[in-house]
Amino acid sequence: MTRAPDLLTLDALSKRYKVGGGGLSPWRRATPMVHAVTDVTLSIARGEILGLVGESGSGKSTLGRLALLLEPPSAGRVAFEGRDLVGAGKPALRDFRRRAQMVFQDPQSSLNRSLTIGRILASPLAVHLPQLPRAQRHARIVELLEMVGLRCDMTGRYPHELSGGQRQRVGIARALAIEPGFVVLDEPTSALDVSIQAQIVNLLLALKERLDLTYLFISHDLRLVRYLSDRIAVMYLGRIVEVGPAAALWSAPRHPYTRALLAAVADARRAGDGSRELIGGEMPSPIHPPSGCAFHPRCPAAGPRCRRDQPELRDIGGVMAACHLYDGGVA
Amino acid sequence: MTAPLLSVRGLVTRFRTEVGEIFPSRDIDLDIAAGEVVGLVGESGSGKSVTARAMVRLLEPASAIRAGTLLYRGAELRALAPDALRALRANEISIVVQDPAAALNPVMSVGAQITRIHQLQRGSTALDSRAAAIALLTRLRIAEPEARLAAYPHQLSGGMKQRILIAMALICRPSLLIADEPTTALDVTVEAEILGLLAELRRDIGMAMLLISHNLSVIARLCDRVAVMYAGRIVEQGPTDRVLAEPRHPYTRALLGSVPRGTKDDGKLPAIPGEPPDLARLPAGCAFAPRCPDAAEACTRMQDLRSLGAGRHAACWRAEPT
Repeated sequence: MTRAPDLLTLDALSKRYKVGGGGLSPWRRATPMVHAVTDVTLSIARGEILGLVGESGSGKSTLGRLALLLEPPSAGRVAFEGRDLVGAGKPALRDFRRRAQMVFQDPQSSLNRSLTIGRILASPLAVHLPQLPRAQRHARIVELLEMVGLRCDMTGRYPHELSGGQRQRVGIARALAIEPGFVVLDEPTSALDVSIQAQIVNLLLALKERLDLTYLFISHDLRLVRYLSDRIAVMYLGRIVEVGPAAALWSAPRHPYTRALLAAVADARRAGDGSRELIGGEMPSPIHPPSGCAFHPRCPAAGPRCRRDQPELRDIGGVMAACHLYDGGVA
Repeated sequence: MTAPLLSVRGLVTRFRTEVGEIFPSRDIDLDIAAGEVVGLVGESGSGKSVTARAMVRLLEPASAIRAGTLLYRGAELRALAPDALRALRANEISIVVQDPAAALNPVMSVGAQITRIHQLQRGSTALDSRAAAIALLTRLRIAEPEARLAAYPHQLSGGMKQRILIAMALICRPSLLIADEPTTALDVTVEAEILGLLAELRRDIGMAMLLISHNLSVIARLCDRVAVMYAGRIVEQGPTDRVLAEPRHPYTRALLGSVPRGTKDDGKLPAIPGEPPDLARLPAGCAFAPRCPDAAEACTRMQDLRSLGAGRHAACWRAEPT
């Protein structure tokens, strides 16, 4: 099967943030940097759902924001339909923002609480389609509410009058208001109960089919990512450590970190089973990432080479993984 | 059979709120045997945290407990004087909460926080408490425990802080540990490790545990028995493996079905329609009926939790005996 052409391409993308006030003293030490995202190359095909998993601090949300150019990358390239967007002019960026939108984790804080639902949904229309007549704008809002399964008399309500699930439906409607083709979904269900999560997931899948959307789905929930995704990318400390077709990656994870993640959510009745793959410790600080492979301090298979050299992503039977185990060994 | 460690019958809690009276626990019956791990599972607003706290008199204000008997080792907890209650919390019952950052004192070293409990409650010397704390941290697989004791909460990661809270709860070797979403704030790899530790400690110390969680896979890993709460009531309880394999209440069935297991090619997720009810405006009869695929006329009458045999109970008239 040939893959559809890439819609979005991330090429050697990195993001570093300065931390702490260095002050103005000329004798200050070099400002410490958080390496939030390092050298990420990833592409998303049209019509695909790419799942991006990682634990807190892995850089997955930063990568989602970089993909939409909500922040400028420190290095690297973002291309949409083959057109390079980093450093592109305002008209190109404006066009991109019309076609690429985001749904945030917490609809409680991402919806303006002083605006009615109608006003919240009207604002993207006002910004991107200012020429739309008033009556049509209203018709579009009603259509959006219907599309996400809300009653059209919601327009006069305020976010606090809605349940968490209803608020996230509004968040989705807002993202879809201007008919984007590409949507970044950043933990869209993690603030919701599991019974409501299932409703939202079904809605997202139905909308994808109906509107021919492409998703970057960011989550810490592996089973959810497996359910939704065509391909899965696993992040650890700012880097992609494994990426490939969802079924292949799930049935035979290559990277020891992916194996540990899957073991942690395995249906094991007791912690005794499947705990062989479990790992100790926690993700190190992205201010001082470990040398070599960032996972080596927690890796059960680490050897001297892992402390020394950064492994590159390489093709291991159809799945890309960055691990010396598959590249001549760890010794 | 020996008497359970904790035996709760007919527990009712009530709060007055702006929107009216709410009952986070109604007619709660639950036993916990010595050394047993019981799970209390439910979605937000189901009343599980309030119910668990009320069961061991950790609920404030105490007047919110409206009815019921709470027998701990045969003694009625509702009749205990403040001194006796304090002694009970010192020596018998501990709690671990969800958010370790909020539960730790930010201006005190974690060592002082752990050893102070031991000294106050056991009257032990500083040296003895320190030795006990170091032994416990070693058990919790904390590297360099001596150095860790000198650390302040902000210097520790989330997983480490949760281990410190567990150490504080266990230093006096309680017989019953209430663990309220102890791993919800943690990443999955850290969660798996903490759950493993809790299982180990429970075996070694022989303590009983009431584990509160919204996450069925956490319950499945640790609990001998599980009670499922919906809108302030226990709607099903029984041995964990049986309940998860063959749920008898439609809510338990729907909750299990909502967890993604396969891929989207296996079909839509069987979501539960609608939203959990507002505790201030419960429907008459079964609170799950408005969302239940099998609801019928009979569901407008309240169905009490009834025995199905083999240690299983469900609050649904359709549930068939085992």
